Amino acid sequence: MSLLLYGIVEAGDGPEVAGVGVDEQPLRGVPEASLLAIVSDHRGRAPDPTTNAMLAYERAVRRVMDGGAVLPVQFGSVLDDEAAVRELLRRRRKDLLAQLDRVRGAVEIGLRASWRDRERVTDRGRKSGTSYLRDRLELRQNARRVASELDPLTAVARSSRRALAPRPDLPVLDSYLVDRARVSEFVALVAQLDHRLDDVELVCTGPWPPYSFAEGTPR
Amino acid sequence: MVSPPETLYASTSARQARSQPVTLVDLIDRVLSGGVVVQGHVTLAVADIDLIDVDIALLVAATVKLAEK
Repeated sequence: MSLLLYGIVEAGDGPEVAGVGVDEQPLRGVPEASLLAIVSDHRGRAPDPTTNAMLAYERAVRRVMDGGAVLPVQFGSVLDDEAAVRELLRRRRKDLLAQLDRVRGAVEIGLRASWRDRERVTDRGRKSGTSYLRDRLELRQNARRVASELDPLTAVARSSRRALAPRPDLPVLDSYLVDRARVSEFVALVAQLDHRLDDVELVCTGPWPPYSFAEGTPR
Repeated sequence: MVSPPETLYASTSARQARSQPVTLVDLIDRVLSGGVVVQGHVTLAVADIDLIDVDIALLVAATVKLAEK
């Protein structure tokens, strides 16, 4: 029986490890080196990323987050056994503890800026090569302008990640790490910016566990 | 207009109905591409993900509590 990982917490933070995860499997903690990995039993390779499985995973991580700082582990991470989990915690201990310090007391807020005029964006495919490139350039310039309008948000956040024009209809796709105590302030500021920006619509999602602020293998 | 924080998950400036698929897309983006990477590769069979036919209400309810903290 292998193990599916959900998140990593610091043992002293006293998070609640209860309930079930993917496939209704009970969650449990595997402790090592003052860290605790939240896992459930799992058969075979990574679970299929069905909506149900992802929702079950996300609920499990969220429940842990209620009790303290958590670093979510990428969905579908399966290790062979408890020994492999403990080895991971030992080997990455310093990095994981540093990451937990960075996210403690904060949540992730997603921000999507989308063009209000969707027709304009979707019409672009039928043009000549030159005008396609010109449109791309224009979209990117406009995306930069929108991005600069969102600058004030970084003052309310601990940290942020940005994708500029990831899709033609989305000039900006941001993630912000925000102190729990400042979430209302952050959302109020988004509302102000949304009111000020005529051509984009701002949508917040969250609060999420800090998925976008948990990093991979340290360089 | 953006909704107040107690309904943050559903916060959208115009059409409320649109915010739910957006939330699910955000969730999928995060759980698949975010998080600590513990293996070199996570091989996922890409399943048919129906973005509309999902009861997102549970998720919204669960997060209202967090927003209030």
